Amino acid sequence: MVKAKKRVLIIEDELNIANAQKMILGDDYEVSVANDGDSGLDMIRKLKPDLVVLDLMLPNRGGYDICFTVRQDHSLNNMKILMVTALTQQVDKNKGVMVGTDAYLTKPFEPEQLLAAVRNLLS
Amino acid sequence: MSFVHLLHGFFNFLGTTEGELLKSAIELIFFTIVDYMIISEWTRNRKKELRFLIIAFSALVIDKLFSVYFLANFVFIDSPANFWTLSTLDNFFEIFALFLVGNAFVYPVLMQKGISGKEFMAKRFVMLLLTSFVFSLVLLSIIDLRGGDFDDFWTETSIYVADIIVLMYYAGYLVANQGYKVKYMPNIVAAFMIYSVTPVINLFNIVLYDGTNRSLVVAAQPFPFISIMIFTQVIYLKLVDKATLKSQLRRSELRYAHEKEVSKLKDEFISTVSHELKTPLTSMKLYVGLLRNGKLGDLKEKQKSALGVVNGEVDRLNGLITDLLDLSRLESSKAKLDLSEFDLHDLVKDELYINMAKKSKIAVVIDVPKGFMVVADMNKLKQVFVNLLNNSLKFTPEGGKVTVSSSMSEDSWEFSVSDTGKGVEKDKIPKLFDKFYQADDYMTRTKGGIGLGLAIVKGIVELHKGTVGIESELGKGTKVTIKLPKMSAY
Repeated sequence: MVKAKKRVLIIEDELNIANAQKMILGDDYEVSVANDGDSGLDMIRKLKPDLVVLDLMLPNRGGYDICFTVRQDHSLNNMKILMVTALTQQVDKNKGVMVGTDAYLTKPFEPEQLLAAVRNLLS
Repeated sequence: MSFVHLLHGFFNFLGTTEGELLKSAIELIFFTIVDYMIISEWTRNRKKELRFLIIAFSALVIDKLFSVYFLANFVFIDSPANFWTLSTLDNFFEIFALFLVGNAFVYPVLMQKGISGKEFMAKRFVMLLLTSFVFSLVLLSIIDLRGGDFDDFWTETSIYVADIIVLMYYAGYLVANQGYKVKYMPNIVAAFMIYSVTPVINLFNIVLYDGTNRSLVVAAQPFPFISIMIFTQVIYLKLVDKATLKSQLRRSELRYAHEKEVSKLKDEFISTVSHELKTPLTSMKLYVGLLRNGKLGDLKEKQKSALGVVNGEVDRLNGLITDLLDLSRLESSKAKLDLSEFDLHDLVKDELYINMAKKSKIAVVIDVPKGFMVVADMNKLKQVFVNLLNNSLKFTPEGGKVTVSSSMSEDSWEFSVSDTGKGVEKDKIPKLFDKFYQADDYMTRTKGGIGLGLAIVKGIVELHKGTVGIESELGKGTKVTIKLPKMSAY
């Protein structure tokens, strides 16, 4: 019996980037996409994915907020979060750690970097 | 008639009951104006000091209203039978008002000492009353010895003694507490002293001449005026002072709010630009990556290498954007250091930098001992190091050498990057730190970069309160030294 693919949710408002990420991860994971903060949070609650690739600057609800909200919810305990952002400052990374992200990827990145980060978190 | 005669006549007039009325009326006007000034200030700024001043000057106003009322009655209508009682009451009331004025003016000292104003007043009131009582008894016994009538003089004597003691006590209190900050202290002391000259002269008149010496009566007249003028001036200055201070404060508050707004806009701009510029780069990089690793179909070697060029250029563009943003962040007021203690040896030994050097076939000698512990913002210092190493590698020919070394002194530490490159002309060295400056002419440039590296280095080093020094000789090489003060991480 084939083991079910793990589920990954991409929350990213830039369609081009979201599509590219879907292509990169699509072979190995079951990928869904949300294009703004609110629908992202809804889908997290509905789908309960194994990992979320979370952009920080999103319409109507920021990535830090989503991360923080998810960490307060005990039913989502095992979910991994990979923050993806153009912010390069150490303080931004610290903020990410504070709200409880598992890893942090700085834009721009290579396809292999994304794949490696996701694999690493889901292994 | 000469001016002196006129003046003498005027003061002589002031010594009569009609003169007393005029004097009291003038004093009433002055005190009312002062009181009004303080009260209107108080409605805007409810400070305790002002409350004390209001109580004191209101007491003076009531006292003067009272004297004007009964003196006018006496002068214009008929001499009331109880003139003596009213005048005595008036005098006692004036002493009490002066007592309140004294307390109001020493209030800043009390506040700085942390003493409660009410408690202080209660204690002084008893003390001053007892002292006046003792002194009056002494003077009355002198009058008695001289053969004067005790009954005629005890009220006036005790009133004047109390006047003097109250005024002198508060003047003395201010002088004794010179260490505390009281604005216009000399003026206040002078006003108290001058005010007390009149009762002193009156006392002399009573004790020595049973109050019959006309010259002493005349001599006593001008002093209360002078002191009232000084009080008015002090109050005026105090209030004007507060008003100017307040408007200055308001102005600087506005300026501060404006600066905060500008700096906030700048920070917003930086993060927006960062997001907006990097988003398309991310897209480009991801799709180029997908094309290169064959996810979107097989490619020929030539096509792959073309995409390699695109990828390299995207990286370069990203580097430039990062540099620009870093620099504008360093220039914004919010630039902060994230201090920690780390080993400089580990920082410069990082594989990434060694690989950078290996690629360009230049020998990199690292002369930083293990355990070279420093306190700085590690990420920013990494940036400094990468920029300096980058510059050295860029301008050093193949087969050259780049040396990284460090040294520690009592209150500072240094590290330097030196190379055997082509060097920089002496007159161009100071310009190296300018934004976008390149020692090479634009048209003859052989190396990439937009000239932000050293500006960033300088920004970071100055944020650490350190200095950057450059020594260079054409054809021999360049040495950049960073000197940073020793800091505490906490």
